[in-house]
Formats: sequence, structure tokens, C-alpha cells
Amino acid sequence: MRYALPAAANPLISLFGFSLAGLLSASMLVEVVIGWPGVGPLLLEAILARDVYVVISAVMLSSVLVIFGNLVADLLLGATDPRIRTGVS
Amino acid sequence: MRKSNQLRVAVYALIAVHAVMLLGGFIAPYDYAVQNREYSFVPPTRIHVIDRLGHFHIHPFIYELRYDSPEDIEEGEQVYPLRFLIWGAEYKLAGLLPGRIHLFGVDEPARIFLLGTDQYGRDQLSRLLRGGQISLLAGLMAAAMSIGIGLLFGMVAGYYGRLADEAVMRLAEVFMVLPWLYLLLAVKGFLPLNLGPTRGFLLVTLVIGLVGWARPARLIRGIVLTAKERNYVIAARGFGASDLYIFRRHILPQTMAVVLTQATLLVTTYSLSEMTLSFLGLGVNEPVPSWGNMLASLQQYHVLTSYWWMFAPAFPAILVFWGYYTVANSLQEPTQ
Amino acid sequence: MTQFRVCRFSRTRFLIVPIAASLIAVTALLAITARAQADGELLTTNAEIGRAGGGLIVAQRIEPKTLNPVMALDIPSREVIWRMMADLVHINRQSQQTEPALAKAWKISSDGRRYTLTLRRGIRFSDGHPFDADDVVFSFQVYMDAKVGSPQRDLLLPGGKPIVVHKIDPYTVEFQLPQPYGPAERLFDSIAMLPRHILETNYKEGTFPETWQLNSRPEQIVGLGPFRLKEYVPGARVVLERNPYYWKSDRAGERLPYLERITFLFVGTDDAQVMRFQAGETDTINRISPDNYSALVKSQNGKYRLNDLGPGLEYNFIFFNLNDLNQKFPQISGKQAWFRDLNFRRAVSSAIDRPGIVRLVYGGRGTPLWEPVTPGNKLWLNSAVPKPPRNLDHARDLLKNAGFSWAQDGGLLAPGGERVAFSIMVAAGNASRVAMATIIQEDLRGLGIRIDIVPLEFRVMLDRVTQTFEYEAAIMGIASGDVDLNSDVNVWLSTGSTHLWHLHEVHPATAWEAEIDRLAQEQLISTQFKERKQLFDRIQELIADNLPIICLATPNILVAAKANLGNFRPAILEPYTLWNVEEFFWR
Repeated sequence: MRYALPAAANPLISLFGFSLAGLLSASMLVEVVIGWPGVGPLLLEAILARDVYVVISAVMLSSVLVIFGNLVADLLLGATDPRIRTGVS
Repeated sequence: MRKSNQLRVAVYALIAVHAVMLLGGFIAPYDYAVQNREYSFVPPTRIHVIDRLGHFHIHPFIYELRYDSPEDIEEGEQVYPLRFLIWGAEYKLAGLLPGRIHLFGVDEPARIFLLGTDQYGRDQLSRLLRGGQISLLAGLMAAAMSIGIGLLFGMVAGYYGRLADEAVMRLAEVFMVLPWLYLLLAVKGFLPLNLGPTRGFLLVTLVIGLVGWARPARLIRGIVLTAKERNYVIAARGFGASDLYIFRRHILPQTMAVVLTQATLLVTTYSLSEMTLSFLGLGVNEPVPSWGNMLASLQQYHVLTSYWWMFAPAFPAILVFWGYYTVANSLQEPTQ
Repeated sequence: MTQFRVCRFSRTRFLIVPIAASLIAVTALLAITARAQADGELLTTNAEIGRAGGGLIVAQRIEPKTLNPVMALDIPSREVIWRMMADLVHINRQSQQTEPALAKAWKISSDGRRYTLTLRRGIRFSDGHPFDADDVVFSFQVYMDAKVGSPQRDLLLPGGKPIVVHKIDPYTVEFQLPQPYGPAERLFDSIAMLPRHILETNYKEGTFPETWQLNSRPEQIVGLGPFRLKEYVPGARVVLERNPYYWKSDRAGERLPYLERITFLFVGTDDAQVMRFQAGETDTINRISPDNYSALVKSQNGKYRLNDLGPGLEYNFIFFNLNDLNQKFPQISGKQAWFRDLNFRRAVSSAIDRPGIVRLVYGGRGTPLWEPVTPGNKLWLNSAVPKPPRNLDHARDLLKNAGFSWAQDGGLLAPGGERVAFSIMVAAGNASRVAMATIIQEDLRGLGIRIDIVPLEFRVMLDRVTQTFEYEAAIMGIASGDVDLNSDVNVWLSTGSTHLWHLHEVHPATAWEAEIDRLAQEQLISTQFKERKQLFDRIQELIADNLPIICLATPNILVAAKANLGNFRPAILEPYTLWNVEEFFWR
């Protein structure tokens, strides 16, 4: 475990950054089914209501979230992997 | 199960499911939109070989449903043998050949509901087969479109490099960063409302395909970047071969492996996207079934707890997705 | 010395008793008369005598939006507000007739235009402040003020002119109507009597529409209803406590209400409501869907009581866009040629399987409708209106006569040769109406008509029907507020604001619409029930014959309550269960 984790950390963190977008989509479906009042059902209602502005805001919000998540992942990668930090090729 | 066995089973299963879907109109006993209003939420019809008096019949049969009241629908007295290759409602095999012969059925006025009925008394088996056609076809068409666009952009980006590369990659990143479901819903939200069933379906497929071209484009670009530097490509260029020729003859075959893997993965993703859209009410319209909108009725509590046969579309879907994933896995093995 | 003391002591002791007794008697007498004065003239109910104590827990699907009776439009708000307010003349929800409330009696002048109401004396608001005619005048002033903009203002302007409210003495008020008005008595129901001492300043400042919100301080919200506001927890509940000054008592003289408090819980979905009720967490359900009702019937264990009250006043219908589009939507205008043909509408009506709708959408707990007045309206229903069963052949004949024909593949062709296909707009969230659309889609397939179902969010749909007119056909439902025609008159008058299929008519578009206008006006002015019934009957005939809307079905009102809740007498007028909450008690 002590030796496996550091080796596995690198791709794990990159995957985390990329998977955030997928998580948002998946959570939307779950929210709709169980009735949780999240951004997912809000977006769905806005589409049925043809409420353009809410749709724009929801999509923008989620993309900002994903970009931020990717940024955090990149920074984490730099923090954990000294090779990336110092730019060793 | 050994890997190769798994792969073989998966391929057979996929072929079987697709064949069944292709022959959907023939296998289904009824039209998918016909409503039998006395038989709302009726459980699957039981096929018997031993009748009430204890006699064994070689020819399997069903009992007619007797309708007393909405809460009380039972098997009646009259025996209806199962008939094969029966004349029934019209359908179009694979969307092209009109036909009227169905694989099995029972004489009028009895009805055979092998997977029960929904709220409107529509035969769930017929809807499952038609829905499978819709969902799988949507997945295949959207994947084809996505791969097509991905190939185009990927090759342009990889081959021409620098400006084209930057432009395409930034555009791809925009599409990759947005959560696919949100993007899908947003695009669907701005489309006109009432198109006919075929145009509606095509539009849904188009939208799904358009949303997801970025990932295959990135991967293809990677392949093209390495392929571009191969000796024979440089040689061909030296000989004055046109770009189109080089694309077709040298680079395209290189990308095939990636394209195939991506295709199998994308078919499942896009099938699932279509099912999700229909589940949320934004996909194909009534009365056209899709595995998604067939499962949507399960959101109601009383359906979820009392009518177990409504879960039926989930199983072929799981089977198909497992099949495609297994194939994708074995395709990926050599490259890893 | 000792002798003297003993003598005096015994004499005073002898007198102490009678003096004390008379003092006590006088105090008691004073107390009783004082209490009688504080009591005021109470209304005695006929309900079963119960015992005080306990609380009621009611679930609400959506939170109320306001606690202001003049501005409230939505049902959850009205449900909470009307447990805290009272009116002058009240419609008994069970008998559907008017009865005295804050006004103990009234006289009507011979020309039917002057109503003189006598108020009960000694009534106090929930904060103890006395109630008198000034409050009545103030309340009507607020309701009729155009700047306040109450949704009920229209009802108080019969013929467009306001009612003049005039105080004669502290307990008598005179109402002068601009014209004789048949349903005048029913006007007073749902006009809440507001506390002048609290709201007059806000009204004069012009901030009245914003007062009495959910987060207002409980002491600010003062009314004459059986309960008063105790607390509001956003997102969780509203709690009302017993109003000690309430002006009703039971036959034994005990002041009502029996219950100590009512808690309105915000629960979320219908399914969640039913589950909580089954678990015993809530005490009544105001409206149950047919599927949940069947589930409750199956799991009936004696702990609760289910009531199927029969048809209510709601009517669901499909209608076509007959508005003047002025070249705006050429595709829709083209189809209006079919929609305007009465034979086309009659054929569509003939093809619809109404019993099927009742069976599939309402689980059999409903009634098919061929006109907008339901069997729940026993007073005004015209039972002579024909109820033809589904007949596809008859429909085909009607279409043939109108010049329609059929193509090789069975599709219906219009007289001009185009294929007949149109879209039906429904509110996406309303499962019943979407189901009705699906059933009608299949029914019309039998005629060769292709239907597309377009689910849209409710407000967007309403916008299209009332503002932009961008739709072809739509399915909607209206729940009449009262049995009287007056509550829905804006649907039937050609100039009415809810004349949905053809809004903004300058002149009546057809002869029968003109006749309905005439009949409705006569009906409103007349004060004789027989005359009004004849006129209303004729209106119903005209609607069923000319089909501006094709009525489909009405659901039964389904309610439930715990078995040991006394005086639970649900009715088909809103609010179905809580209208007599002051009489509820726990056995």
C-alpha cells in the first residue's frame, strides 16, 4: 500500500479532474429520480419552460466548476509529483 | 471465464440482440402503439402446458383474460393455443420491407402479453423490441456521426499542425469540459418543439452525435501525429502524393484500431444518452417507445412497487452494454 | 372584657358568612355579565360536541407564497390564510348554500340592489381588538382598490362598476350594487375582514400588497378566523395556534375551536405525502391521486378513514386555437380552417373514448364529461345535455360531409388535399393531462389523424394560450371556485379574460357566442333562481352543441383522515377537508 499509492496517485488525480464533468451529468440523473432539488432538476425545468437564461447560467456554472476542478487536479498533481513540479522530462 | 471465451460470448450476444432488434416487427405480436384500455398494468401472460383439469397439452396455450373491474382481471376459462407465423398488424422489417406475418400470437379476441402491459394497455414486448430498435439505432447513428466528425477534425489537426491544431484542440476542449448531459439538454432546449416522429428522432440523434465528437478527435489527432512521421508517409509526400491520398492510403488504416475501440464505447454512451433524454421526457415523443421512456414510468411509486414487469427494458440494455464493453476491452488490449 | 370580646366576635362571625356570600354573588354576577359582554354574540354550530385539545398536522406539497388574503392566488397560501380569516357571509361547503358568518342577518331591498348586513356584536380580533363596521368598510375599500390589484377585485365590480359600501352604525353596513346581481350573496364568501387598526397605515402608505408575508411577525397577522399565526420555519412548516377570541361556540356553549394548533408541513411530492400519512405522521390528506388512493384502500387497517366524495367541480378539456392570428403563424392559420369547422370538432369529440380516459387516468374514480358543468354541481347541472358514446363511424360521416377524405394508407386528408395532422400542447408536469393526450392521440389515429404531443412547462403553456397564441390544440383543466356560473363567467363571455380558445374578441365571433353573452348577462342580473337556472341550462346546451371546448372528464375528490378525528366532513368545494376545521376534535 505504501508503495502502490504513490505510483497510482498520478493517473488517479488526472482522472479525478477529467471525471468531474461526468459526475455532474450522472448526479443530475440521480437528482431527478430521487427528487433532490439540485441544479439538475432546475436545468430540466428550465428547458421545459424554455427559460433561456436559466439554461445559460446552469451550463456556464457547471463548466466553470469543471474547469476549476481540472485546475485543482493539475495543482494537486504538481504538489504530489516532484517530477512535474520541477519539469523533469 | 477466460478472456477469449468472454469475448466470444459477448460477440454472440451482441449479434443475437441486434438480430432480434432488426427482426423486431416480425417477432413482436402487436403494434407498439395499440392501446388495450381494459388491460392496464396487466402482469405477463402465463403460458401453460397443463390445463385446469390436469391434462397435458403438447401445444402450449394461454387463458383469455377476463375483465371484471379495473382491480380484478383474471384468467378466464377459454383456452387459446399459441399460434406461430400468424397474420397480424402491419410493420416494416428493418424499416424497409413491409410485412404482416408475426412470429407468434393468439387468435382474437385474446391477447398475449409476454411482458405485461403498461398504463395504456400497450404490449410491453412489442414496445421493448421497437424501443430497442430506436435506442440502439440512435446509439449507432450518433456514434457514426461522432466518429466521422472526430476523424475529420482529428486528421486536420494532426496533419496540418500548428494553427489548425491549436484551433481544433481548443474547440475540442470546450466540448470536453462541458458536462455532456447539460450540453445535450441545452441544445435540445433550443430546438423547435413539434416535429414529426422521424424528424424528431433524427434531430435527437444529430444532437447526441454533435456533443461528443471531442474525445475521438483528440485520440485520432494523437495517432495522426505519430503516423505523420512514419517513413512511408514522408516518402509518399516526397513523391508528390496529394494530402487526400495520404489520408486515405496511409493514415486512415493507422487510426482504425482507435476508431473501432472508440466506436464500441461510443455506441453504448450514446445509446445511454438517448435513453436518458427519453427518460427525462426530452427524447422521442409519444407514442414511439424507447427503452428510456419505458423506464420513465418507474419514477412513480405505485408502479415501482407493484408492477415489476416494467423493469424489463433494463435487462437487454445491460446485456448490450456489457457486450460492447467487453468487445471494447479486448480491442484495447493489444494497444496497451 | 372577655365577655364583651366573645359577644362581638360571634356577631361579626355571624355576619361574615352572609357578607362574604353576597360579595361572592355580586362578583360572580359581574363576572358573568362581563364575560357575556366579552363573549359577544357567538354563532352556535350544529356539529357534534367534542373536547378540547390536541393538534392537527397537515401536509402541503408546495410552500405558501404569502399570508395576505387580498393578494393570495395559489391554493397552499389560501389553505393557510383562511384558517386565520373570516368573512361576512359564508358558503357552507357541504350544503353549497350561503349562511350567516360575521354578519348575523341581512335584508335585501325589493329591487335587489341594496343589501343591509347586521354584524354580530362584541366580536374581537385575534389580538383582542374589537371588530365593527369600520373594519368592514376598510376591507372592501382595500379589495376594490385598483392600485392594490387584488385578483378578486373583478368579482366586486359587477358590470364594471364598484359596489358602494356604507356604514350606517357600528354594527350595520349597507352595500349598494350598481345593478341587480343574482349571485350577490355569494360574493361575500372569501372576502376576508381585515383589521383596520393594523393595516390602515400600510394601506395609506401604499405598501399593502407587501404586508403580511410569511416572515412577518405573528403579532402583525390579526384576523377573525379560528386560528392565528404562531411560527413559520422556512422550508419546514407553518404553525397556527388557537384563537381564544373566535366567535363560534358549540351547542354546549364551549368556545371553538377545539384544537390547540394546526401545523402545515411542507412535504414535497404526492407520494411522500401518502407515505407520511400511512406512517401516521400527518392527520389528513387534502387530495389523493387515484393510484395512491387504491394503494391506501388496499392497506386499510382501521387507523384511517378514506372518502371518495364523487365528482368535484374540475373539468378537463381539449380545445383548438381559434384566435385571429393576423398572418403570424401561417402553418397554424392553415390548420384553423379545419378547427373552425364545427363538423371537424364534432368528429373529434365523437372519436374520443371518454370512459377509457376515466378508467386509465383516474383509475375509474372519475366521471366522463360532455359539458363543463359536472355532476358534482347538483344545483345547476343540466342533465338533459346529450352524452353520446364513442362512435367512429359517426365521426367518419361527419368528416365526409365536411369534405374530408382518406388516403390509401388510411391518413385523413383535408378538403384541400393536405394531410390532417396537428399538435396537442399539455403541461409537462401534469401526468393526468399527458395521459389524456396520449389516449386522444391513439383515438384520433383511428380517424387517420396524426397527433404530436408537445409537453411544456405550465407557465410557458399558459403564456402561449393567453399571449402569443402559438399552439394548435391544447389540453387544460379548470377547477371552478363555486357552483354558481358567476365564478367561471370569464370563460364563457366573448370578452372574458379566460375565453381561452378565442381571446380579445371585439365582437362575438359567432352567433352562438353572442347568444351566450346575452344569456350570461341576463343570468347575472336576475335574482330568481328558477329564471337563472333556465338561462344557465340553455348556456350549457349551447356549449355542448357548439364545442368551443371538448370536455373530457372530471376526477373524483379523494381525501383521507385519521379514524379518530371527529367532525371530519369533507366536501367537494375547496378546501375539501379543512373548511370546518374549527369543529375538528380528537376522540
